[in-house]
Amino acid sequence: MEQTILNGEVQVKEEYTQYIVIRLGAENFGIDIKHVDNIVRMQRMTRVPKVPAYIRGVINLRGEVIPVISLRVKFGLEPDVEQKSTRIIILKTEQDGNVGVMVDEVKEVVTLGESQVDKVAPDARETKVGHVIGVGKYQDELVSILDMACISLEEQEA
Amino acid sequence: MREAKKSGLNVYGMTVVVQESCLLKAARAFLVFKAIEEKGEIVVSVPSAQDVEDQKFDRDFTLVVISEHDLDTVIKAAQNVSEIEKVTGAVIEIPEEDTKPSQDVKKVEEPAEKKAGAQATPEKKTVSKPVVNRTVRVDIEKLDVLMNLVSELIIAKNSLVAVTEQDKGRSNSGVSQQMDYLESVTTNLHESVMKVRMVPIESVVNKFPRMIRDLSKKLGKKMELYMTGEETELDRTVVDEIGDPLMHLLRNSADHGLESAEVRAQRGKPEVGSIFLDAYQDGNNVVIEVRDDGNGIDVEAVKKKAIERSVITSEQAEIMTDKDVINLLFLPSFSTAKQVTDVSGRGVGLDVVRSKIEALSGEVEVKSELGVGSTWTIRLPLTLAIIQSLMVAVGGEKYALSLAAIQTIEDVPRSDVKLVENREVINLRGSVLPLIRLNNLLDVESKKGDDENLIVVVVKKGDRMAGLVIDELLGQQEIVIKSLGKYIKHCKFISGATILGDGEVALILDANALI
Repeated sequence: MEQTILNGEVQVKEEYTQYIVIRLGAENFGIDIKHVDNIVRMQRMTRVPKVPAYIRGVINLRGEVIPVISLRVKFGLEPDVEQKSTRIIILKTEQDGNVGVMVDEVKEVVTLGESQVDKVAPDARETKVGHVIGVGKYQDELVSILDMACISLEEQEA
Repeated sequence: MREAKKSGLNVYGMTVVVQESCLLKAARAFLVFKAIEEKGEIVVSVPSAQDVEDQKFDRDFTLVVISEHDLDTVIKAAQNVSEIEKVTGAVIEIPEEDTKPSQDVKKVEEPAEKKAGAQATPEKKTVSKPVVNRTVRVDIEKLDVLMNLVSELIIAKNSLVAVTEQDKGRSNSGVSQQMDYLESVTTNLHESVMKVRMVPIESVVNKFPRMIRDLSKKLGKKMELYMTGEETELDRTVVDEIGDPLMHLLRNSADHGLESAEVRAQRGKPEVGSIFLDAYQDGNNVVIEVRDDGNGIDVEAVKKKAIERSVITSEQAEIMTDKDVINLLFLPSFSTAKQVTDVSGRGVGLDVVRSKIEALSGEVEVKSELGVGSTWTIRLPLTLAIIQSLMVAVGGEKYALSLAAIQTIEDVPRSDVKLVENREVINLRGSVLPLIRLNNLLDVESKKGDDENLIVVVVKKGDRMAGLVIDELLGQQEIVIKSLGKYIKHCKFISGATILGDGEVALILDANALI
């Protein structure tokens, strides 16, 4: 939050962030839009042998070979069933370059202010360790804000 | 021009002839341009000012000048530039009808009226080739983007071809003709873009003569560097990396290789030591050789040192071949120099040389004869980006194998497979090869029946060979290597990926890691 003094009054300027809302099973997740490079439809994927199960394979995105991971497998849900709405979100990561994540559906883009996002306390993270950094409230729905670290290499030993 | 005439300015046609002996014609011409521009304005120039600057003219060029000065002043100004043989000029009369100005030049000093344009043409047929190296510096990333776009274009073209072939029944020949044309254009485009990445190694080796001169002073040895094949082209990324290893090798030759003047005299060698740097293309490889006529590698001294440092035992030393001993030099922190100088002797050099060259998927080889000299041969792939590959199918998936590692392809009956220490081997013309079932390794189901013959691709790494069992051969193909990214790095035997013509991604198997 940032405070600015305008006409002698103290105004609190809230910082807004845009999130892409995706669906995985029954749950909605939000991904900070600044990490998103692109959203593509499901396409032919080449399996890579001897890698952790959540790495589904690699795709050709405009001449670039990009690994695709399955958030479902990563989060311990049942493996993806390809549907019409299945999309691959291409995320930009600093250390690993572009990485694609498979999601069941891309719903919308929402703008949430800081006050609308409840930070998850570190001790409340038993179930999905490190995946969610906050829960956003948008209209009547809850959106779990994903921690980008969950797709990074650190957790690859899983 | 007509307006200039009306406002009282003079229009001149001039022909300037540069002396035949002049070396920098473009520079002279530039000075003439400058001198004339002080007196007036150059409206037309034949050949164009750009061509003149690029030295694309023989000895003369023709100008049309607007000036307030009289003709002699302008001619004098041009003549003041040295190495100008002759300047002729004339006042241009603007006729009523609009004709090309350069054709209306009348010569004052030449009574016979000769059209300037006509005069200029016969001599211009022998336009000398521009001496200057005309290059553009481009960021390598931009080239990668271009390369990707070309690959995309080829993929798009391939799908277009597939679509037209589907309704071939009613398609007219015009479409397929144009499609062939498109195909040849994209193929050429692809090749050209590939070539753009190639640069001569000149830029790297140019600094070596100076380095050798400096070393010569520092070490107090007389030496000379002879270089050939500077124009040999390599992939940009390779050229950038190859400088340091070469420098190490040259320093080695200068410091360890060449003997002192007294020793050379004793051995009856010329006083000045010679170091050679030769580069040439050999098939799909580029070979760079660093050679000297110095002492060569003293194998016994290396052995002694190795035993001293307990790298090897004296028993091991007994049975080691000279080649093995020389390879010890590449070990980290191994140095035979008796003292550490600022030139060499820290034992870092050769280790770094080898790891760097291996990182570029090249190899280093040493040949040495004591007292005669040594030769270091670096063999590098022409480009890192493109390799010749064999496409194979394993359980319905496509994989690429680098053709460089493949020895032969064999059709082996099941009955020929024997078990040794519970591992499958085949006896191929007297040599026993271990078999690697790629489908087991890659966790896929083989699509072949149990009774069919095995297709075995024999790969070689150094002296070791192995047979890879595959399902099907798909053919040879030139592929562009793409990185799998840092994300997937667990996979040891996959060295990268490539995008096939139809847009599909195929993985490249690293035969070296499989053995």
